[in-house]
Amino acid sequence: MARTPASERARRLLAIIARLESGTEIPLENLAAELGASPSELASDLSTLSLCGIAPFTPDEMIDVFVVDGMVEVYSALPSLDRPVRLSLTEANALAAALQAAGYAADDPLVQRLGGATAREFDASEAERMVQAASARHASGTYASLAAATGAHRVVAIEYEGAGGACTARHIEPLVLFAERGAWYVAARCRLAGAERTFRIDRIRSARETGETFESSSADVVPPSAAPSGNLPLARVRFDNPADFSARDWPGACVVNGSTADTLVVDIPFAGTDWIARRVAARGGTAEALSPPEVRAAVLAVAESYSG
Amino acid sequence: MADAVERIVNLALYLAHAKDPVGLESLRRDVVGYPEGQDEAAFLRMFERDKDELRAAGFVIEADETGRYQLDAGATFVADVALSASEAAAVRAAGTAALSDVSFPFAPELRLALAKLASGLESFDVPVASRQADESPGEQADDAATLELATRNSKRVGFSYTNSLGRTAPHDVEPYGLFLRDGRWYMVGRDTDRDEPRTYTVARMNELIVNTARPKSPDFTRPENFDVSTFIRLPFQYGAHEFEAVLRFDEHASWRAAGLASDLGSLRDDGNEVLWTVTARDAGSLVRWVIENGPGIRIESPGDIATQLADTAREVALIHG
Repeated sequence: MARTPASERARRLLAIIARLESGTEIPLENLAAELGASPSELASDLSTLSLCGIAPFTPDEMIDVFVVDGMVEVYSALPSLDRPVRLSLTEANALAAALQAAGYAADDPLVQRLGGATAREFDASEAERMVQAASARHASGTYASLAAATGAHRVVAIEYEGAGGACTARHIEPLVLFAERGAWYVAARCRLAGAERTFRIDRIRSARETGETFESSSADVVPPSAAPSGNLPLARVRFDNPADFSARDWPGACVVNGSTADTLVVDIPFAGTDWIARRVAARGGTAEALSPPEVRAAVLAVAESYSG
Repeated sequence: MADAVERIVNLALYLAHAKDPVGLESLRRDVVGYPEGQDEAAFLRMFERDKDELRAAGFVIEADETGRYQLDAGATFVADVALSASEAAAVRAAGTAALSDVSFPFAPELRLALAKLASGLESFDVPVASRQADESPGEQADDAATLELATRNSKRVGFSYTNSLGRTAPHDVEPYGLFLRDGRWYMVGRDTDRDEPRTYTVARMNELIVNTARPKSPDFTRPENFDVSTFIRLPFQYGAHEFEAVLRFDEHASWRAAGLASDLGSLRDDGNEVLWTVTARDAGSLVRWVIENGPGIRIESPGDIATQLADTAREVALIHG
């Protein structure tokens, strides 16, 4: 494996050096994962760091860091650099892009407040004019509330508007937040449904912690997906023009007849009839829900709501 | 002999420790890592490279008129950033999600950013995941990272591009900006052959190369006030014939209006309802968008497209009735 360039290794060390205050103990594996390094590579770099210091290189002018039994341990105060260094322009741009992807625009108070930690020439608005890494439509406050509650295993009371337009009040135990193609979701145990449910965050009207906590283990956090899972019912839909069907638009869909046919028949998993009914109806008369009857009825209801 | 990592860290420690500006002689004598007996020119080249590395890491190093160096502590070190618990959780969640996403182009820099901020975020471990781009996400991330660097340094790029009709042709472009929408990265730039700004799907690019001539000199000047968001459109905003549409969000859907409008057009309250005036270019796509994003959204004008929505709905009802 190619050795990591010295410049990159030095930047990693300079990024963490202010945290190495006397008495610090950090698992090597955690720190390595945080920095994107292997534990052995980081251990080697920390060994190099223990040789660093300031003239005249007396013990109290050196960095007293060691790796002991898988732990990074620091035995004395840093000779300098005991305050965190601001994010460089490229680091600040990267953080701004990550926050933007989570719904935080340049003028959000959180982004503004982080200005105290970024290079002075960093301009969040300028960065946003060059890179737009987001299409999230939720309120950033809702995202922050859910992030805090998910991390601390706290129950959240939400008002949620489903695809059918009905708004329901629910208490949820948020397990994981995830993003797919621009939309953010929270996978949670829903006490109203008595089962795990996935909620689009931009359809959550309000979110507040109830003050109650819940038990959670890593086993609860399955790899999430907005795509319907294999246990869901299937709707059979016919597309008059096979070119109108794109697998990207219908997650989990399975073509039933061949692509040489004049029309395309597809089985599409669905969690709720509202979602699939709207998408079929939106294709006008070029798509027909063949089965089951409740999906056909839902498509009819959507259509009648617009036909006046 | 000390390696480059040790020398760079020693230089950072030395500059951070110095109370007064320091001259090159002191630096060379007191910072371990500069080889003894090294000739002056080689030392200066090495020192310049080290300064560049420290600047890339966020250090602001200034030289006075006598050629002595000092760290600008105010510009180098973090000022007080007090985040609330939910804000810290949000930063942690957003950052961790982006790092988990192979389509995120800026992971190495983000990792360093989060490492620097970690002491303010460390109590929060939020389970997150992200898959923002779904087509060849790793390749999109690599190309988007290359394009972002070229954009920032104003360097021209060349690539082979296959358009939606399947035609492949070489392009030479001055990249102005990037955006991510619906699972794909896009690049906006001036096509030098056509002399006009164009939007390219990054996943449709091949053999992407950046002009390497004169790497520290920009090849072009980005238009003043360029804003990549003006190139981001909703599905119904692609087409030949532009018209103005007004959509009405009823009292139950009005809370979603701002999010769905995505900063495009203008929103106006009308009692408990909201009116959205927006440019459109494809009537069929507008009708589809209204149905997909309903309920509670109707086309107020143009009247003929409102009629088209009703006709479409009647056809759907006839088929499913």
